[in-house]
Amino acid sequence: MDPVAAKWIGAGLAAIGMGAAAIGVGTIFGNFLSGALRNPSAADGQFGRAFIGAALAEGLGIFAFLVAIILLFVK
Amino acid sequence: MAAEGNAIDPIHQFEIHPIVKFSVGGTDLSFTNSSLFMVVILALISLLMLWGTSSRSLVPGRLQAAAEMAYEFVASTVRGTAGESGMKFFPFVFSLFMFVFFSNVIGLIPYTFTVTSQIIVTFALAALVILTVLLYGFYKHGAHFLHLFVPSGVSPFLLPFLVLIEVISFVSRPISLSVRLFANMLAGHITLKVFAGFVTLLLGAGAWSALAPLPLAAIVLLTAFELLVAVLQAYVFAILTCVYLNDAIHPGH
Amino acid sequence: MSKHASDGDGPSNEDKELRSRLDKLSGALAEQRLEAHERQAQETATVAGGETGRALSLGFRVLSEFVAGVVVGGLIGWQLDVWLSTSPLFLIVFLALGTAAGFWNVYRIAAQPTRPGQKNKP
Repeated sequence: MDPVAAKWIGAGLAAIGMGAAAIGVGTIFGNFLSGALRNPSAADGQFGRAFIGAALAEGLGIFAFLVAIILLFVK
Repeated sequence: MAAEGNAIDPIHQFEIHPIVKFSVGGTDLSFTNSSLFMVVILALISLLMLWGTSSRSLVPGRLQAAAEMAYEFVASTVRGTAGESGMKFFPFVFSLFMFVFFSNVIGLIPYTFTVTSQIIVTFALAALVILTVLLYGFYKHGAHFLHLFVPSGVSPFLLPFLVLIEVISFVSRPISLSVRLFANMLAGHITLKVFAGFVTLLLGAGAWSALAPLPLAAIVLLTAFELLVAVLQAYVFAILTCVYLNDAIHPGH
Repeated sequence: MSKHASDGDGPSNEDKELRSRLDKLSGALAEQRLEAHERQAQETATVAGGETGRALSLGFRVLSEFVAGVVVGGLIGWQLDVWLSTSPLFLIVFLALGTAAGFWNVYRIAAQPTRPGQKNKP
């Protein structure tokens, strides 16, 4: 397999990581909502922390994106 | 939007076109559409502030209320984060906030150019903030300012790692400050243009044009979200500037 | 005031003592007013941000602090590798340090309680 094709396939595989990050964010907000329904009074205090968890999951997704970009554009 | 043929080209909006070509000794100082919009932004800000504060009537008119609200919002952010001693930097933080706020909001208007969607502009603003922090920190505290990197109450064995970690987190501040603003603006505008491309594609697709209003509704929602992001990024930039200035005013907090 | 002689300096050092207490009191008063002013400012800052706005801005800050920490660590490591032409040793070490710096930044931002009720100085 010539290197250019390998690079493109690698970038494609790396982009799957972003899908995994999306699953992570979905789980975080899903659990936050189910928790908020059970105890609505504590919900607003933890609203910020739900976003912090989502941001961390997105951060890992961005690393997958970075790997894909590096694979594609760095010589 | 699509310059050549009907290819959907969302990147076209970020290209810099020199309006007045002008170069001094090889360096290109031409007056581009980016600098044109910077001038427009400065004109709008000074117009709002000068005209708003000119009448100074007890019962504020609309413009005066807007100017007062802008002042009050940034002043309460600075006081809340960097305390009363942070108010020394209020003009600096206020002009940063107004510039970023106006450039983000003006950028949302179609056919305008978003100044903060260029990495070099946001990095220049972030470098300005970090240089102020460093200069003021060393001016006011001298070598003592380096205590910022030495967390108190930690076993000497762990100290070199923690100092390295503090240095890395300090160096990552300008990078995170500038890349956050840049990435949000860039990604937002690209998404808007891509959906706009969908609308034109669907319209041209004969039977499928019945679906065209779908991406149009998506653009309406996205523009609203982009407006929130634009205001939020200006607020985050201002409040982080106050947090970093607070580190310069009281190191080793 | 029975003893007049000592009264000469009595009231003066009493004055001094009174004045020092007065100064201390006014200093404390100024401090108190400053504190109240700052707390009031923090109230308006939080209300102005609004609930979703503040949570979203928190999210943006955490995301970029975390990513920037790791990226800067990686860049420093990669640059050191190029200069000292060591094997990818520094890259790995500084990537680990960058991740630690990223988590340390995120911890510092997230440690403050986001509920407007319990507020302490950041």
